[in-house]
Amino acid sequence: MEFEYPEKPKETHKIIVKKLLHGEFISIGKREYEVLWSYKEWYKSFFLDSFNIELLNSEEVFYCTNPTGGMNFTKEVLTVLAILMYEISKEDADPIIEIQNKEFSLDRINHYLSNSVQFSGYISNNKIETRFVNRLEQMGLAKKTNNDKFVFTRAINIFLKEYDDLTEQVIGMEE
Amino acid sequence: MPRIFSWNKKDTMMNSYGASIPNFVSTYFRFMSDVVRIVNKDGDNYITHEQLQLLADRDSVSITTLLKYKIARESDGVYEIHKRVANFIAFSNNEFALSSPESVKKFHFSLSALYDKLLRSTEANDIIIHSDHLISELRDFSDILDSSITRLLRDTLALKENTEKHTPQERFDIASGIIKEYVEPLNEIIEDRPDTILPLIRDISSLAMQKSFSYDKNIENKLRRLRFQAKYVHENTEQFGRKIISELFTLRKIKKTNSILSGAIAWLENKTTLTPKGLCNKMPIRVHSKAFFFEAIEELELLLEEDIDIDTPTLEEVSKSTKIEHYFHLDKTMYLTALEKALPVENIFKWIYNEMKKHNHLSYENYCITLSLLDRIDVSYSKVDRDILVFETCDLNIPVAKSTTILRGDNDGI
Repeated sequence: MEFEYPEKPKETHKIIVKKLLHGEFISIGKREYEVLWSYKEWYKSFFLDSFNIELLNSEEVFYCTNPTGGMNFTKEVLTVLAILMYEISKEDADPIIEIQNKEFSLDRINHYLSNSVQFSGYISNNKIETRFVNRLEQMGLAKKTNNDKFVFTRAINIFLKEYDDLTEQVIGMEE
Repeated sequence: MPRIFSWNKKDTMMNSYGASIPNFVSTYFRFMSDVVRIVNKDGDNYITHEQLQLLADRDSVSITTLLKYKIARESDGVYEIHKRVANFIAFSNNEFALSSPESVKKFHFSLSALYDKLLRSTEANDIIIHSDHLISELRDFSDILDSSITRLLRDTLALKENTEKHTPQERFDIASGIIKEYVEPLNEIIEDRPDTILPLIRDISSLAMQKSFSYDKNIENKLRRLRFQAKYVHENTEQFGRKIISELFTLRKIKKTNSILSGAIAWLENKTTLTPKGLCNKMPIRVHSKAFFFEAIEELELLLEEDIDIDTPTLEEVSKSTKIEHYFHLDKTMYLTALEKALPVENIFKWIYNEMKKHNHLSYENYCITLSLLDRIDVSYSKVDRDILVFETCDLNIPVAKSTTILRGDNDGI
């Protein structure tokens, strides 16, 4: 494949590669997303040919996965989000719509975690710390708003889809 | 004027018990309602002997009378309830069964057969008979759609509001079941495609119109009724189609939501056996393809020192240790000092290559490591010119990259 960078600001390119190789998510609304979307096929080849890494994307998010990594943070996010959704669904609200659209705070999440009867102890001390939220933000999964609050970015849908895939895994195991 | 003789098989099937049946149904309405509810539940279409006996004992109903009036029929140890009675009671109670797609599809065949008969009819009697049959069959078809959609709307709403307190897994299963068994096949049957029932109903209407020109007033009236019936049922079917699409969306959403929730709970319960994808993990960095090697250089500029864990011991460590005497230590200061003197260079890749050769450091692997110097050098790539570097193990096709400046660092004297 002949090497030809697409016309684009060099800095954005570096940010894109660095973020994706760090396992971060690039969601719609970001400058990097626009560049990725415009040169999608080029970037897919670039990642595959340069690093043997598959660049994945939905309509809203670009990301890469690495199944050989430690996965501690992935597991922690999956667990916190699962308890959160379970507890929200008990309040007769649609947990997915809440996760996708509502503002959250550390206190609100910890309220759900510490009051969960079914899933008490699934997260150490039944609470998360500020660094967890910071990490969410760093990975492109959350965006801080005002007053220590944050919203989940579109990238959270990749995690929601992950549950969908886990359901398939369970069905596969039962069969 | 010919005498019109209308023979309708349904008209002649008189039940000899006449008013006894409505009287019986009316007297034991609670009993009949409970029986019909069981029969209509889950589309089994029967009630077991035990269930029937229990209800009969409760309300002092004689099963023998039930059988005598042909309201119920015993078949292989279970009881079936006469469809018309069951429909009447369900209708009275506003309870409807979800008809199987197969039973809806049957109407396509019966209407099609009746249409052919009407098409070929030339005698007044035949036209009247077949029109009557078509009117009645269209009515039955419309009723079955009404009943199905009423039941479907209710089931979906119950599922949406989770009145039965199902778990997410159960709701996922129920929604999947309704979509697969009822909604999608039904939608396929009533969609407006050349081979479905809707164009057939339009054909029936057109046929009724064409035929009505050549016959007397009586027949014309009958055919007009058929036309109106066809028009009404056509509209009803289209409306059913719209409703069923809307239910399909709702059910798919319920299915999706509960699949996600059910996966979330499955994750909490079976963390050890489930394998999520490695989201949020750092990627394993290695240069994969030589052809694309230099295309990755810009990334190596960023990543070599930061992300690839290259073990570069200090000079003292190298001199102290005999074990790692073959280890290539990249003495950045030495290279950068030499480069500063050489600047500007026409091709930094070639310059590094030559410099390594001079120090007897040259190998493909060492060269890759030495390229980490690039994060300290300002480089401008030519997109056109290329060069070839020859290593013992491979040849590399490289771009020409001019260098004029060393970027200032804070950990060496350059």
